[in-house]
Amino acid sequence: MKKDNPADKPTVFIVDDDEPVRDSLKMLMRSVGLSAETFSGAAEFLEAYDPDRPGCLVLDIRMPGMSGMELQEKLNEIHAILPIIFITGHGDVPMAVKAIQYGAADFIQKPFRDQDLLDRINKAIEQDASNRAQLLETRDIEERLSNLTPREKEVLELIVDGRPNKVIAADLEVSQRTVEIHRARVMDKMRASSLAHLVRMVMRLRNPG
Amino acid sequence: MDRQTEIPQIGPAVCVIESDPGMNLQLGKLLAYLDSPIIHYQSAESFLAESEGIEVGCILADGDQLGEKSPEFIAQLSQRGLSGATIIIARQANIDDAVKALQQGIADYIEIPQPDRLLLAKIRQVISRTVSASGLRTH
Repeated sequence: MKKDNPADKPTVFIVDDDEPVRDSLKMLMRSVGLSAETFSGAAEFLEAYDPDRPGCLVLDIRMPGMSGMELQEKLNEIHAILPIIFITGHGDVPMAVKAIQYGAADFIQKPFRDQDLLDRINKAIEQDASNRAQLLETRDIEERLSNLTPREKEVLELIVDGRPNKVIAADLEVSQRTVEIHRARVMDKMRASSLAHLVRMVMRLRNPG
Repeated sequence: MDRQTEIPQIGPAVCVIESDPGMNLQLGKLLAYLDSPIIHYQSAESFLAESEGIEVGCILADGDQLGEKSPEFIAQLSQRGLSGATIIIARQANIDDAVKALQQGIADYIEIPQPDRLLLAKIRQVISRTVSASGLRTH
């Protein structure tokens, strides 16, 4: 039997201090083929947290010790991107607003319909996959950019600003031929298939997401 | 036209979408503390129809009045780049509506009544964020 690599398959991480709730959520996930892991508290989850594992976090707000909101803060501090879906039996509007403003993907009140929770979980998992793909792409572009010399970076900035070679040559006080050489190297090192592609890559870094 | 405006506009405006005269009076008193022009609209439709060209600092919309039209209205605000400048206030606030509206990108969803000081602080915060994001000037 082929063993799935846990780093690739999305996992629903369930953090709730109430054991029957944890178990029933885990069963619900499994019933639709989602892999799930349960934690009885926020600290326990934090200890096991691996930023490279995709999926989403289903998090109870009120728990003894570290609350769900406190866990969210801690995850924000370490720039975690795992989407959080809060579940609560005693939520209020300000609490929900704060959770979403602090970056939670969703907030759902008990009792909820199983399908409603599953829909939100699937949406969060999709969002996570897309965020991770974007992050990978951004890192890739950053790596290509780090191979440019300071002069090539200057030329890149001017190209992206739409300046023709002639103007770049005058700005940098070099010959047009030199600019052409720099330009060719920039395109090569950035693995840009066209000027539009190059501009898109630089814009991605300027406006992530 | 069912809006009342102070012309000429100096600095980004607070656009109030509220048809209830009592609420309008209360909000008017509160917003007088701000250094911004206040423009009143009777409905989401009139705001969408009449706000073209206005420098918007903050939109304050009554969630109870918007009701089920809220998602559609916020989607239209998003198209105009205005959802991030929007605060929904609601007496009949509920978690699902708040979550949906925030997921659509509004700045805040506030259950009222709230202390004036708190509401003002939130409105000021949105205005200053809108101003710095869009390069609008305050006077």
